[in-house]
Amino acid sequence: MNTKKPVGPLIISGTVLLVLLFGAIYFWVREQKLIDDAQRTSNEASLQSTDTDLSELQHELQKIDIN
Amino acid sequence: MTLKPIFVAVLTGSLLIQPLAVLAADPGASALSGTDQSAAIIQSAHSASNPADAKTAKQDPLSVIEGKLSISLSIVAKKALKLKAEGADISEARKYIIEARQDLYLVDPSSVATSTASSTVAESSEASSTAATSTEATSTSDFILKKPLKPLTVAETRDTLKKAQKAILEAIDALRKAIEVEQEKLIADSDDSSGDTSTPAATTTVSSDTSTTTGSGASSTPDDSASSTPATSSTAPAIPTPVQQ
Repeated sequence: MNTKKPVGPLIISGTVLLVLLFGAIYFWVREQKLIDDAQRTSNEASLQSTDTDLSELQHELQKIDIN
Repeated sequence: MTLKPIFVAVLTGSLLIQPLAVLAADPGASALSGTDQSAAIIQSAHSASNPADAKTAKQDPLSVIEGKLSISLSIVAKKALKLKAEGADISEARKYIIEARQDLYLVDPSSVATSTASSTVAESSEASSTAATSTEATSTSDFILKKPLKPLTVAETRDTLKKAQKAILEAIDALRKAIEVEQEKLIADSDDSSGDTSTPAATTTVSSDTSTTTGSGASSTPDDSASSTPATSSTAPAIPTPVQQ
């Protein structure tokens, strides 16, 4: 007598594992994107701040008259 | 009677050295403290350039100006180091910082400019930069300062200070250009990661032929791209440029 192994639970558990895996990947990618965006925004602000400082310093240096 | 000039000299020297002591004590200062230092220098420069309250500048203008240029150079060098840490190419600014540092050293060999961030910039190798490495000397002669053969006259001092001032301004220009390049890179990166609706591979000419966008991350000027893609502009459809964040 051939006794069939029940494949239902195997399919269900496999599907659940796949869903969990893809979900974890999705949230990981989304988190990385958020981190990248935050880093980019921070870098942009830093560059802008440096540019402003340099612009002011340049403006004031031009006022110094060495004559 | 004889103590008064000494007291004034010590007071002036301590006032000039104090900001540098702050810089030396906190090499990793944040942008905010850099802004505060810049503001202090700007305030100082403004008071010296204003004849109404420039009593100190009238006493010994060249030495005061030399001090201001030294501190300005230190601030510029500090900004350059910060930009380099963020990945910017500061080779052009480095060249001018070395020039200014040498000029200030000729005016005053005991200048504080030789012991601050400008030294670090001068001594830093530019191995990571691309074109500058081959053309710009990165040997030890870059950061070994040439000593003055004889004390400079007043006219020579003035000329040297003018050269230093010009070099610092050029360094600032170079740094601001480096900042622009970095900002363009950031914008290109954000375009790449903003979505799949953009056209990442091909150079796409927008309907007016005046602006193009490249999805590969390279920053290109509109004129170059427009002139280099004459054939595709007539065939490519008018795909809207992805909105830059």
